Amino acid sequence: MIHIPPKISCDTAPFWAACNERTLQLRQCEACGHIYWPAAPFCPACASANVKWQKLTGEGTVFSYVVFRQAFDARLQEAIPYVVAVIRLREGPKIVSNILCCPPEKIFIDMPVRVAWSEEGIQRVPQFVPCGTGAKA
Amino acid sequence: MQYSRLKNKYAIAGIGYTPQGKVPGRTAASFHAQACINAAKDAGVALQEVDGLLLYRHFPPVGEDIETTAFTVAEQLGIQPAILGQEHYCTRNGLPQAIGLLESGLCNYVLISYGDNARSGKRSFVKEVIGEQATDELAAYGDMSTLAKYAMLARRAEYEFGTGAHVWKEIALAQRAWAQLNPIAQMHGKPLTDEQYENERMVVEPFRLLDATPVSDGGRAILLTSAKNAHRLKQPPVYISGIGFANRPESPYRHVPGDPYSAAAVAAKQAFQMAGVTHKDIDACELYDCFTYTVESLLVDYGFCKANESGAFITRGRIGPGGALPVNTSGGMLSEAYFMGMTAICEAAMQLMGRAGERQLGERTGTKAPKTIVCGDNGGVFQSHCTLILSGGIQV
Repeated sequence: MIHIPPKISCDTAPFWAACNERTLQLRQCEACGHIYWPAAPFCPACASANVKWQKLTGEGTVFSYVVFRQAFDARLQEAIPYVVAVIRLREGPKIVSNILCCPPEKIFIDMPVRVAWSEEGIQRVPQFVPCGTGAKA
Repeated sequence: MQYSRLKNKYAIAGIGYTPQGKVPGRTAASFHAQACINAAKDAGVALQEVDGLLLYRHFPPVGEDIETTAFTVAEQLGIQPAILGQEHYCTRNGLPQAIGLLESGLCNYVLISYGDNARSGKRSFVKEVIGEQATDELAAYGDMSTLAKYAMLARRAEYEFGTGAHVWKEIALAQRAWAQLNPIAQMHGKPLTDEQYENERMVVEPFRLLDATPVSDGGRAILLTSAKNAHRLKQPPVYISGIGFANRPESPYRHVPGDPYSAAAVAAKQAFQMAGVTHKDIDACELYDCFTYTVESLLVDYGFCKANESGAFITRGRIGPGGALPVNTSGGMLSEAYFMGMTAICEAAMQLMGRAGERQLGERTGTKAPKTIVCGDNGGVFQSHCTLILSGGIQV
């Protein structure tokens, strides 16, 4: 639905490479256990450099969401209206993503969601669908 | 309080305006220069006496403009200040720098300046894509614009505290009512009705277009000096009685509305403590209002009302003309002009100097004559904050 590839840095490249394998992974600190996004080489909770990539369940709830009624880029015109949300993942961290397969007026805060993977484009992007719909992005 | 020795030690001695609103055919540098000339003239200080020039600098230049730097502005002013700064982080960072320069004795007169051709040059606040290329990860989700970040937190506040368009409408209408008393406001002569607000188109739900500030051409400057110097200058000094700073630099998506340790809450607490005042002493608020919800959030963070009581507290009757707690009396950025932190600070200073014309607080608008006004300058998406408590009409 959205055809703007992300800017990938050397810090975030392994995250995006895993996305192409339909795997959601974030940085986790081996010293204190903190899981965080976006990826960075030092733990923002304890400053440890001992951080690894941790696979996540891809399950979470909607922390907040907005509905775009205006396209801020010509490539988004067809996607309107679309939903951008902050997802609170089961493992704790909050990430930005989209909610698909659900009309905007049916979305609610704390709604359970699970990750789905975009098909199109060069870079696969993690998006979320309501749990139990069985829908594919 | 470690800042208390600075209380009332420094003052705003002059304010510089320029033509504002839609002013085509001007560079940002020319607005800076004009605002600085007018601020120095307002104070009765020769430009050559200015030994510190700190300017807010937008990136990149827009429209037909070329790059604005502190050099180009100083060159246009024909001055050679000892200290030149081109600070990307707005007035809230210019203020502590200016106070530090004055306190250390490195400077005697510091100008803080803002200028932009944002309206004619169509400045965009969509930073996630430049040209065709994404600048970070967010564009991949279509998460574009600063507006969407504020809207995301506003939505969460709706859920947690029961706020919403019914509160934001009060802010939009109250500030628009103030603008009707301000002949230089962009929205002067354009009163706003409930129906107009309610029928306004949604941009990024839950925000309507009227929840967002338009942008402006123009500039503003203030001249800061010691209270001692300010006393012998042209205008009644406006003292810096309290100031507080705080940063919460993490992504706004990790912020939570109503956080008692938000940047605004921490900065405000510091400023109130330094000034030795309570909320009852505050005669008006001049608060950063990039969006209507920002005003609500700051009133909550500053402790004027509880998050779950904002609907009852924030009414046009209270914050509009004649109200018990006037807020953004020039019309603010939403209805006067978008000069970021300078819109609020210049208005507070004008009110305390008694120079606000038809909108002057006191008898003219059916309120108390102001002695103490709190200003809030917010940056990023609630990530950085400076609270300023200004006082007028006092002997120090």
